[in-house]
Amino acid sequence: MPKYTNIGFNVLFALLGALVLLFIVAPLVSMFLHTEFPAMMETVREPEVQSSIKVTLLSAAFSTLFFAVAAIPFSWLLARKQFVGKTFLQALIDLPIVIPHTAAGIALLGFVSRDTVLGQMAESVGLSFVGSPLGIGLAMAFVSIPFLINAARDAFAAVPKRLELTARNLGASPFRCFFTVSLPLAWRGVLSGLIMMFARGMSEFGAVVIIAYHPMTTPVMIFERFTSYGLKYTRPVAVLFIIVALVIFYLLRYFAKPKHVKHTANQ
Amino acid sequence: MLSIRQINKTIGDFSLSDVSLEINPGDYYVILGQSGAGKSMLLDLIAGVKKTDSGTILFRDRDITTQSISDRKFGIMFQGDSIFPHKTVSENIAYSLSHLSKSKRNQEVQKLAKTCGVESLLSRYPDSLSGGEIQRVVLARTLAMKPDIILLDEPMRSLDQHYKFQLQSLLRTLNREGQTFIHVTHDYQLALTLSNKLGVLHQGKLIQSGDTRSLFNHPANAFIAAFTGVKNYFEIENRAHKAEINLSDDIRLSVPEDLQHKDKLRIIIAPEDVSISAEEVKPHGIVFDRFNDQSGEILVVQLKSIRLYALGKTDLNLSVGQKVRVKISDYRMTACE
Repeated sequence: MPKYTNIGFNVLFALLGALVLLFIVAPLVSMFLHTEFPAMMETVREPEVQSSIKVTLLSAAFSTLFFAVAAIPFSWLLARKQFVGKTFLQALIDLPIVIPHTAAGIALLGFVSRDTVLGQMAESVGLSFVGSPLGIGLAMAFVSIPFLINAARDAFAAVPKRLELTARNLGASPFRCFFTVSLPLAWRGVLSGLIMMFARGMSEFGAVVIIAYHPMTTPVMIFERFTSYGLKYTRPVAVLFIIVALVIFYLLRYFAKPKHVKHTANQ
Repeated sequence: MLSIRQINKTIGDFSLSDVSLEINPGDYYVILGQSGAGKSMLLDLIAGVKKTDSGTILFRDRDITTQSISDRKFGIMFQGDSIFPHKTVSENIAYSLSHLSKSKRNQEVQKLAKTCGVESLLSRYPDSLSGGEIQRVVLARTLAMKPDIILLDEPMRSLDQHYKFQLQSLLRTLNREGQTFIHVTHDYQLALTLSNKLGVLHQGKLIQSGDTRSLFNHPANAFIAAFTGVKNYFEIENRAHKAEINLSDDIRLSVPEDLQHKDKLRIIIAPEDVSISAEEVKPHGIVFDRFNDQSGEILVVQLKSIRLYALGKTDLNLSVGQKVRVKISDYRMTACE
């Protein structure tokens, strides 16, 4: 009979894991339990809440898709090419994660406000970054784009280089090679990065509140209701937003599953 | 057809030095070398994956040294699995045929799949294929681009013997039909089976090249002899310049007249030309080891200064440590240059 001497070790690690899980789950469960159903339904029907959720989701989605067009090819470059200053560049990309997001918002505001070149150029074509969904999207993208770039870079790096070389050897142009080999093979990692960017974007408060208090995103609304009316009045909005986020992420993960059915050798 | 002239390439502390090769249409050229000899690097330079530091690569008298991988019409099968895992077998084979109409493309895919024996696998994904099937699909995909030369980087490295034989047979068939190959491997038996020309690469240098049969018969030095599977290879000083030379103790071999003046002689003895008998009569040696290979039981006999490999006879029940008589019935003697 073999001796399982690692039982104590496993139990200890499981207990530590349970503590971490409790730390994550307990506040959320408590919030759900303290939210009354009639109050929730009333919140669902509030046009202000509906509008904030819509603004949050759309701004996060559009900013993710818009910046992905440039960020994904850039990630391939970071995965495949060696150049001077690459390490510095990687650190620069991670900067929005480490700086306070209010500081990020202020930096961004100084870059796109009406008295800057970019702000004036936008104004000349009838656009404004400050106090608009455009600005919200910019703030969301600024703080969340490292998640996409890092995930996509790792995914491209994991694609065997010989497959790209094979495609080039078979006569594919660099573009065809990228779209038919590199991107499809890295797609799960890239998609994961897109989901993370979207998620991080929609939960952003600090940068968004600086650049656009209105139209109100849901995180800003939660803050505004908390400071104006207190915890009880804020909970239903927070719970509703968490439910919406959970449903969306479940659906995104579900549709991100690999599509082709594996054929077994015996078939 | 392909002329590689004195190419050099250094990566880190490894250098490929002054490598020159001539490949003619229809050749099956094997580059034989140990791991780390620079075989894959040489193949990468020929394919255009890497750029040479110096030297010239001419194809049909045109300088292609600086051409990129996609501009050279050389199909390459990289070491390891290079099938596209997200595409079906059919899509893999059709990858270079995007310029054809759908019906022509399908026709071509069917034809190539039949040639390579993968016609029943066309709708399958690579994750359901065996290693041998994958390599045949990759070969079909490479053939689809109608390459002038196919470059093979150890395509049989991880295959079972059965799949190795299948792929070897397919490669020979394609070569007989006129396809030119450059194949790098560490396996001398594979080189002997497939190639008509051979080059031995060692520590980044091409140390011998030429016709396969003649290279196996006349290895230029002990390293090549050992590497190409020659079992009894000896280089003996010939200071006496006489009609006979001592191989070991009582074993004397006659020296042809035209070699008697040479200072150093090379002697190759086939194991089947060494006969062993269980007699304690001189010249004798001691059975040092015994093992089986494809030709039969091999006895390793220790003489005073050398070891001889002999093809054992089944009726001789010799054991390790036993004294035996050694007779050499035939040998090849040449001068060491």
